[in-house]
Amino acid sequence: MSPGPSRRLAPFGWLLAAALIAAWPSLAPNAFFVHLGQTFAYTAIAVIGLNLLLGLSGQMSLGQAGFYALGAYGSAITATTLGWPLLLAMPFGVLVAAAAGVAVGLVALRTRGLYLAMATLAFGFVVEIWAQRAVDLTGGTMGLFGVPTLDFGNPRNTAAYTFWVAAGLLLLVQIGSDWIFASATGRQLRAIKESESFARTVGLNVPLWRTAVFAASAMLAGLAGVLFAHQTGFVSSDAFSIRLSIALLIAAVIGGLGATRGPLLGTAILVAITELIAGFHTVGLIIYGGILLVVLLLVPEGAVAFWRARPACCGAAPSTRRFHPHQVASRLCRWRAVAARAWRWQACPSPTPASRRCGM
Amino acid sequence: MGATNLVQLLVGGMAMGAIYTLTAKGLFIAHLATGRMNFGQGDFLMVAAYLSLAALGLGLPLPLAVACVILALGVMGWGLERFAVRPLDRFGTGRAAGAHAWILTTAGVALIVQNTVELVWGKSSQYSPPLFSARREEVVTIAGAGFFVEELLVILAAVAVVGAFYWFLFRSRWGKDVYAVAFNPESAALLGIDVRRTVVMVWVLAALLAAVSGILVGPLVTVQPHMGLIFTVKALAVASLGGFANPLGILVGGLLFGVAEALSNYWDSAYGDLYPLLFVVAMLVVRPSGLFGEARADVR
Repeated sequence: MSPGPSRRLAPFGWLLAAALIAAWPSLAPNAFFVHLGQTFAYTAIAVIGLNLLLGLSGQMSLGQAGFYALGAYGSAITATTLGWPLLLAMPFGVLVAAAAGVAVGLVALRTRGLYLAMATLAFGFVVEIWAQRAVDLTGGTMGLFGVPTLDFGNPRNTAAYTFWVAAGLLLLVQIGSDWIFASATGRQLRAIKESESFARTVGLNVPLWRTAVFAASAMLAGLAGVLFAHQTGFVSSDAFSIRLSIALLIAAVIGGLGATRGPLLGTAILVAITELIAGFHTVGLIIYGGILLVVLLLVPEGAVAFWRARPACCGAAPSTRRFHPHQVASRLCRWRAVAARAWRWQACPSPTPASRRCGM
Repeated sequence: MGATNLVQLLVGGMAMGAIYTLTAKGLFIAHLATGRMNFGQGDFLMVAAYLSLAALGLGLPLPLAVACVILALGVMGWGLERFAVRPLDRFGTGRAAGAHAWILTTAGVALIVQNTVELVWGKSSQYSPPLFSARREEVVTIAGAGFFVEELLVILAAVAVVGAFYWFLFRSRWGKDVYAVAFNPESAALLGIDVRRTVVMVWVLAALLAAVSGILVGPLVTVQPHMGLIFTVKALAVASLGGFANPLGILVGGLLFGVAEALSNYWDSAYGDLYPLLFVVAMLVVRPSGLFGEARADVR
């Protein structure tokens, strides 16, 4: 389990983050970095939602882009076509996504594992197809123009305001996530992830928790979508393809599933990769896929592994062999443990199944 | 809608359904033996379609082209298992950190494959030459209704491959190995089954099924580098519909899905591809483990 940063120190971290957020628009070398900060902030919100869902409660979702899209359209359409004020439109978008989350969560109750992956994937596709074809409502691939931005009456400061709103919400969501991971709720969700039957036996209301966490995750994805819609004032259905769901999943996994700080790291890496490969767009997918493979095969716990004392799998089950390199490696400092594992293919034998272990 | 029209739609739907079935079989067998599957199955199909297009374009005779494609995809299946799936074993199969890593590693390979194909053949859609008939639009008239020769033969070929697959799974020694490994790798190893070889074989077989579907699908659709994902999704839908645990269910699920898709495209061309997916989700609500899936207790 993720120990996370000490709970006594956490408030200082939050204060530091708040100070950084307040100062970022003036610290950033140019407007592009403020824009990048906005993107990072709302993407991280969606990834935190996915981390709660997959990392904490063990439910797979390949359809987060669907919730994201519903949030974006819920807010953009009401604010543009119906002329609602942002204060009303944005919560409405989040609400739409949350409602969809409850619906998908109820379907999810009936299914597990791969079937759940399938159902959520189908949900994402359904929303994507709807966004593409319901041109009267969504503008389709041509997009919805003139979505009001977060200018608070001062259009020259839009970028900073958008960043502050997105990053401030991210901070609140992160504090909430830290709290959930450390609380009884977090432990209950982990119990459900380990074994549903067990959780039920000890008296947890499993269906309620599973639906609730689905709704929460959808709500966060929807919030990210809402912020995305009001970032640039333009919403096109191209933004909500399955690739977005996969990108969010990649961020969650690269950062470290089931660790409360994982999404921040993962999103930072994702945003960095996306910007770095923008210059090599002809081989962009190769770089993307390559990084994905390298990270998953060498550091499967995600980037948070570098913050831990030593990789979980090296410390867990003692090997039955007389000498194993990982025992040496795990005594070294954490960086070298990970490096050693990267270097030696078989450094961390799996506890199960025996038949797939080395030598067979 | 006249009766002729309906029959034509059914045949067209069954042709696509047969392709989905073949693709879903690849997912099914890998999932059966290892609990994992190739999320790039559709992209492997796309590669096969491009390779067969290129081989036929070079003027190779059909059997030789098919052999080349099958060989290439077999190597890809082996490589996928060796470099993107097997290395994950050393992290254990627990539900902890790396439990879903295979989804992303296979998807990562799929991205690399997509980009490579795009670099080699370009982004634009291409038409594959027909495999069996002289022209794409060759029509044969049966009982007053015209059918595309290509579609009929694709159905026949797919049925033959599915038959071979069932023979392999239920009648051959290898199929028994696969079921033994699926049941429990450790006891299979104790019984003298080479678990690792069986697992490799299963992944190669999955890639071969993608190869066959890719060759067959070429003449039915336009081929382009990003067509793979939708095939993966539909194959996954078909496998869920049929039940991942039941190989016969996948055949029924595949044909049902193909026909449902054809009818829904005819009925509403704007949202045609929406309804089959909704239908599958609704089916999952009613029968969570597929039409023919066994009721499995949640023991984990």
